[in-house]
Amino acid sequence: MSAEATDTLVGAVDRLFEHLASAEGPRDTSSLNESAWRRLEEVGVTSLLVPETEGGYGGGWRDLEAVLHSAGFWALSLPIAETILVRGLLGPAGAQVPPGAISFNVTTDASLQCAAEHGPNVFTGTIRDVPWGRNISFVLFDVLAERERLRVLASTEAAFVTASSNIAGEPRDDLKFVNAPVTVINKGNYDLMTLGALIRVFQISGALDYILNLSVRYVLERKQFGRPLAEFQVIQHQLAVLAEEVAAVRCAAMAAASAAESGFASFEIAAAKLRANLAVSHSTSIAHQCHGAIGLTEEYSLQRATRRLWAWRSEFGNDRYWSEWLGIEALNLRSLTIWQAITDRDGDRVSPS
Amino acid sequence: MLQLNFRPVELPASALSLRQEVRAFLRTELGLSVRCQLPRSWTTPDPEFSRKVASQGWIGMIWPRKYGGWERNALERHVVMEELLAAGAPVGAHWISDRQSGPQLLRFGTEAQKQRFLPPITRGELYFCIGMSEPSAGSDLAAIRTRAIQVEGGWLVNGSKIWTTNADISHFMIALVRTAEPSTSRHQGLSQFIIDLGSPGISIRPIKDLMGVRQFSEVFFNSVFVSQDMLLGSSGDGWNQVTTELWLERSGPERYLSSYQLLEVYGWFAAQYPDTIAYQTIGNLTAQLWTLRQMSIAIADHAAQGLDPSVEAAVLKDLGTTFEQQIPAHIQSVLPSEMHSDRQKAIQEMVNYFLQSSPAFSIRGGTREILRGIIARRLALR
Repeated sequence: MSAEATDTLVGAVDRLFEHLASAEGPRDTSSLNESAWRRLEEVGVTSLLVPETEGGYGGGWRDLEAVLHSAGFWALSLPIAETILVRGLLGPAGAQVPPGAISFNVTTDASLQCAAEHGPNVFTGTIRDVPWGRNISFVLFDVLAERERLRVLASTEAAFVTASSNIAGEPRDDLKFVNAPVTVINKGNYDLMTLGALIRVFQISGALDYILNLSVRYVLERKQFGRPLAEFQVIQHQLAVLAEEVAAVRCAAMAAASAAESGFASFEIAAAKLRANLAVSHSTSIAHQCHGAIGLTEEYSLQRATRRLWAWRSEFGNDRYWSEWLGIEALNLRSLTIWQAITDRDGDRVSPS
Repeated sequence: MLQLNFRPVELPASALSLRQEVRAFLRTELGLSVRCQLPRSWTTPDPEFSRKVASQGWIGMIWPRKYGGWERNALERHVVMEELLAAGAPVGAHWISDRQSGPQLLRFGTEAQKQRFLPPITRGELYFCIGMSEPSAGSDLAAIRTRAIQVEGGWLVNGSKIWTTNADISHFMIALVRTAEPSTSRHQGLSQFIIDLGSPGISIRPIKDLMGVRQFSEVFFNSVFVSQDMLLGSSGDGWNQVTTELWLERSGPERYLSSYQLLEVYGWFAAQYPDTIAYQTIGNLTAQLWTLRQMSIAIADHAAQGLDPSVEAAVLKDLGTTFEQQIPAHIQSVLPSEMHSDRQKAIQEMVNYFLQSSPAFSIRGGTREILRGIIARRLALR
């Protein structure tokens, strides 16, 4: 997509997301808001990554970053990120894209068996914590099959659903399959853990941006001791620190998106997710602290963002997961030094000079 | 939505080949053995090394050719600078001249000043230091008391500067001085002068820091004559000029690479004795370093396009110096308690060095508190 096309789309979805968010209740419901979902499909943003020749926007990772920043900012309780991503993966994998909301997750303890030599693949196992598992018709997941990781698309029609949610009330459901026929598809460059981490980075970045904006607005309006909170130096400095974290995570998100275009960005995505994770605790503390008691209420919108930030920190890799992954990667013997591990990757992505 | 501009940028191919050149140069000049010694870094002066760097065309990289510069682009310069810093190369003699004094002359200097000073800077022969802080004026720079009064043919300067890094090996100082009483604002009446440190009336007294190293000095001006042609820019415009100089000082890769050497050495140690804690420590620091580098490259590109990145520079410096301070503290906390081999002792020594040098990181070039005030202003909080 051209930069102008991206800007136009992002502007449109940003207004739409804001509108949809304002219509949501303070506590997220457990069912998919059908009319909201229809609006998203009408705008076509759910097919952002689908090629134009197949009726999509033909967008790339940078476009996804812009759109999901906005989705994270407005804290929409809809499987937008998951649907856009999976639809983007299925086409290039040679699979048909089913209509409607779709989601994915990774599973480590299930396995796939082939029923017969030329028979369909059959899956028995449980995919845990599937985002919006109860609302979707199909789910995508990576699974172990005879020592090989395969990517599988399954209809949820025959799945047993155990409903649950994350801290923010977003559905995270277990889907149990018994002898369910599934389709094995092409895995592509990135595993689902990495891709899940990437979309969460974009959303975290948006939510951090939201709490910064909300906090700045609040301290400019709220008066104590005869003046706005904004006039107290301690508040100014706290929000400056929050702004730094917001800037760092946004930069990391955009850099990871750019790197992802190359097809070899697991390192960058890991670094970005970890950097985003590292920002969550301090940032949410500052935002809550600046708001005082009003920020502790269900009615005020701060919690919609902070509960998501706390939840998303752990999804698709918490600090422990990615720091260990990245540490091993940085000490990889191909690079003599950590510095080389970081900088030699620039060679994969070069602009014409 | 509040926007700071940190849009990441991809490096040009020319920058990548430059990187290999710099690495080859450093292998020849410094060798690998230096990495286990106490890190020499961008404050450590080595005139011979500076001349070698200059002969490679790495001083004044983005300056016009007519002043001895190389007319390369900002991203190429960024790559060269970060390689020198990551290696702990002793670039201290020319660093300030290249980073801010030269650009300050380019922006505000007369043709004669540019012709006189820039070419020898690019040859690595002429060194400048920064004349800003005074005993009674650190963060509150406008409170400086060093004064210049107009005399025949120039000015007489009286006063002193302090915390001047490498004043003892520098030839000139660009000094902020009061030339007129302020009327409506205390930012008025300030000017910058190019002062020859060999002038009569100047005495330089190095100060020992808490490690016993004399890296900065007090500089005393006792009726020092400065000729008219050594006024930099306009009389009374010093505050605006110094503001420009400050963002140059704040935005480079030295603002997050000062203690990188320790991370690198710890990385080698961890490769030999790998465990979960070592991986996590390195992963954590690597993620921060990767992000800071992306932000720094974005700023270099932003500035090259003529945009004003002073708030972004403040953000980078605050995050970067916090990171620099974290490295020795973090690594100290995870080192095994039994450390006997020579390599392990070398790491311990390096940790000790950086623990002592780290308080300076968030003080020099603009304290953390000042930087946060700058960011808060952009947020419209003050």
